[in-house]
Amino acid sequence: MHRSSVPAASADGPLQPDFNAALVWGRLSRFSQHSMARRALGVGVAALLAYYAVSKSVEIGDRSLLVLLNGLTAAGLYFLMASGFTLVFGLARVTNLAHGGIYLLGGYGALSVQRTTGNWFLAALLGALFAGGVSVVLYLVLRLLRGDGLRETMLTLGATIVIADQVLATWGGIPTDLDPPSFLTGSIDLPGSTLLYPKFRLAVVALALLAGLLLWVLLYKTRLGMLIRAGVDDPEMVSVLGIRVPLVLASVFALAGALAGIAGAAGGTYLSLAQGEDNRILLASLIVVIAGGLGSLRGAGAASVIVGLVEAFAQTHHPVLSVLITFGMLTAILVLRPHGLMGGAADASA
Amino acid sequence: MQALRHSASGRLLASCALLLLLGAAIAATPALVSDFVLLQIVIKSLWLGIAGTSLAFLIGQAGLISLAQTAVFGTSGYLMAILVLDHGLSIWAAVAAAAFAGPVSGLVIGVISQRSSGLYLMMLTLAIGVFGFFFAQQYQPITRGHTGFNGFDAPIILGADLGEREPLFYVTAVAAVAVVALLRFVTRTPAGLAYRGLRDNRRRLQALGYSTAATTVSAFAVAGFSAGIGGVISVWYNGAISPGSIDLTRIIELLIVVTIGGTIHLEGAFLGALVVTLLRNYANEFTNRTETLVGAVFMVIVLISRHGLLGIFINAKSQAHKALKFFGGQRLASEKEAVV
Repeated sequence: MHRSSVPAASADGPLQPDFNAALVWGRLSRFSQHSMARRALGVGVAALLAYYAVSKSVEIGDRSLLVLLNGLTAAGLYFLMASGFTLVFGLARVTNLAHGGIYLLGGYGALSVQRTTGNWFLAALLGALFAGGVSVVLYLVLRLLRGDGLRETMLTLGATIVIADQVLATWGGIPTDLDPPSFLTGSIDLPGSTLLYPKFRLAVVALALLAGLLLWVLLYKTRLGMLIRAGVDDPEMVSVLGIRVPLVLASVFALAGALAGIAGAAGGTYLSLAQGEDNRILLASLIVVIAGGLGSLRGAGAASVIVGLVEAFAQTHHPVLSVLITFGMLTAILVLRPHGLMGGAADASA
Repeated sequence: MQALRHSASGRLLASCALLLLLGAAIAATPALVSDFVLLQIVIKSLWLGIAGTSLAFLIGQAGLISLAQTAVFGTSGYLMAILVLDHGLSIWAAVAAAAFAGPVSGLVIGVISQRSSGLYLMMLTLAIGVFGFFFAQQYQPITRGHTGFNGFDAPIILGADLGEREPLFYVTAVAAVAVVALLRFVTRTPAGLAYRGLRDNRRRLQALGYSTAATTVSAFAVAGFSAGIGGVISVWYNGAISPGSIDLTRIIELLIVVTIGGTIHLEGAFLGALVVTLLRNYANEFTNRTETLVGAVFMVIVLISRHGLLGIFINAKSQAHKALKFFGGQRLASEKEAVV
């Protein structure tokens, strides 16, 4: 083994014995890590993109307003999903890949309630409770693994399959949707133009804002929120102080599940409930959470607006390229900020 | 016995014996099982296992959990189908291009995710894998969208039509042995040591002067090779490839295959592939919710064992040995070493 006798790093950089291209690689990555170079590159690219977005939007005139609103609506839904996902990750260090499945359960649960009672709000409430309950059950199963992160994540993947198959068995495979509450059916005129926009979609934005506000109050103005924030920072210390961490964890899982359930009811109303919707929403919330920084609620908020707007823009102007554009944006964010917009380094190593 | 194990010529002898044994087993299989089992179980688990070894290699050797291997699998499969059906290339040129595309797309995924590890890597690669699915579904001019490519004729090799059961079985089995041999060879090179360093202790690897980024990227490239081969054979087997071949269900299926088998040894992927294929084929005789059963089996195995079925076997074996040793005294002490 010649490698055990490798000399100390020489003047032209660390020795990387087994890869011939390693030196070139090192130079390139050191250049890309240089803060000035990165900042200049970032500003330049951002300016170009902004110019492009504005000029494209001016081209289609009025209809840009619709693009903007579509983006905000999507952002609302993504925030409802991503906030729960990121809270669970921040506190329990669990990547809950069954979050999309729980969204679908909330939506379908609400559908069943609406079919019997006809009341949208009752349906959304019970759907959220149902989803929150499933989420807590998932937490109880995850507890058996005692913090082995990767196995926990695999377990949630298994749960995704079971949930999707059970949804198919219970509600069938034909796409369906909920009816919006009567005072939110139809459209309203947009000021300053001849365009119409569905009322319910605007209500989704309001719902997301309300959820964000309530989450803020919960996290920063209540005792539970204080415990949650403390748990995110230092779980061991919190348990040493005699706090029942499992209870806090269970309530965060319930909260995340309920948020996903409400998202399911809202998404099931203005989009549709179908097989595969769970994957679509899971991908979107993963992108939002990764771009925003794992465990960061503010990051989730900022990233859901960015992802929603970029997606709506891309779908209007480049329908064929839309997935590539969303994904390119994620890659760009990760290149510039490896731990997401507002993620700390600690989040990524966990 | 002990001396034989450790001498170079002894190892060579053992490998030759193993190869002969494998060859005999491969030659005998078509005669031993029915046509249905050969096609639906054996060949299917072989190509699924080949694709699985790519993930087993990444997880077991380098500690990188990648959910993007179906994207590599799909790139190779799609590339071959596109080159033959849309561009009229000869089949072997297309196969060569597809085999080459495996490591290349692995390289690209590696470059994107070079700075991530652990859960973050898992999520990033999941996004890449699902992106691969949406790409296949949306890029109609290149990928034919929803329907994908149908009616792909398997090539003819030395006069044997790979559209037939037995020739396809022999080629797939040989490919499986070759892929495992290649990956095993890599694990014994200095690069293989670097991968294990990545798995066990990133910081120490870095302190030794290795670039963890370059190590990660090259691990993805190596793994891309077997995923690509798996993709090529799957298209021969199915005669088709569509977005459904690389959707989230398939991504999870590959992880299930590897987790059920266990990642201590690369061959675990074939064990996992066999279990999953058996479940998919025979579970509907006692339940019509096959997927639920597959998911539940997966969850149970994750819950009870860190290293899948292989881990359970190895654990049982060492337990049995402990018991034997307890009853048999010192007689088994030398054998214990052989097991470890």
